[in-house]
Amino acid sequence: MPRRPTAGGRRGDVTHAPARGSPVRVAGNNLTMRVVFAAYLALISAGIVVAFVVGLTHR
Amino acid sequence: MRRFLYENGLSLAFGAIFLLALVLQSVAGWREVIEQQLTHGDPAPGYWAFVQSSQFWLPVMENWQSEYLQFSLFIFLTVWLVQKGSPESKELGKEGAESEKDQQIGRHAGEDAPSWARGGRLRVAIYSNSLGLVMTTIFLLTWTAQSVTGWTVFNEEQRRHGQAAVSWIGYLQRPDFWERTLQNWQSEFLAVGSMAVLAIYLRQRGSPESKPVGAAHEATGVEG
Repeated sequence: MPRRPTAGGRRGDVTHAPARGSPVRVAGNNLTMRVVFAAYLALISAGIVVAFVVGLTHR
Repeated sequence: MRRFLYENGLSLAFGAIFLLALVLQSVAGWREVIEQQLTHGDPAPGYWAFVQSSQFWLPVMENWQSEYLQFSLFIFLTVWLVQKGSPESKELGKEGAESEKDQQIGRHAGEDAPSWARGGRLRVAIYSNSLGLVMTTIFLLTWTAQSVTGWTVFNEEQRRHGQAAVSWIGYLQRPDFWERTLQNWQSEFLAVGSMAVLAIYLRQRGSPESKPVGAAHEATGVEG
């Protein structure tokens, strides 16, 4: 299910106390989030492209 | 590395079991094709030939499109429709796109807000709907990919039985295309509907998909 942001992070990571329903910002390197985001989009895109190529070339 | 695994455990775990299931599906599908071909006295394809065939990619796209349709609908419908008592629903009375203040956009955006949430009406409008737009785009692309691979498989069957091939447009009007489509849609609609409804009275301690164990049944939009 798509979720609204929820509280989380390791001790000492939370930079401010969240209001109810507000996102919690976790300090640190955001590069890893970008890596998994890009990896998922790449995986989905690759699957779609391969399926189109396979179908359109009548394999 | 340990921090990377910890901070991304959910997406990495789902990515791993997705790849495992896809590989197992390809092996099971290949073995099924071998059995069918032997029954008909036809030569069986090798594994790599099978994973490059529409016979493999058709069921993959069938299932992908229905999953992305499910989430796209869920994303859009939960903006406007509520379910009293469900943690999957917004609170009653909050239906709609909500105010700029509630959504922290424009002049209400914080210092750490994404740049597209801060300014430019068009940019804010696009970014405000980016999740739904991308999920819907993936649904439409995978549904089209299902139709293309299904068309190839359908025509291969036609050829085997000495019947004429059909055009892609012609295939879209065949029961085969719609049976494959709707059998997946109905199960997704039931699953997402039951998730929203069962979570009214049932709990899963520690899961953000559930209300807290002690939350009232009437509590809506509350996450554990």
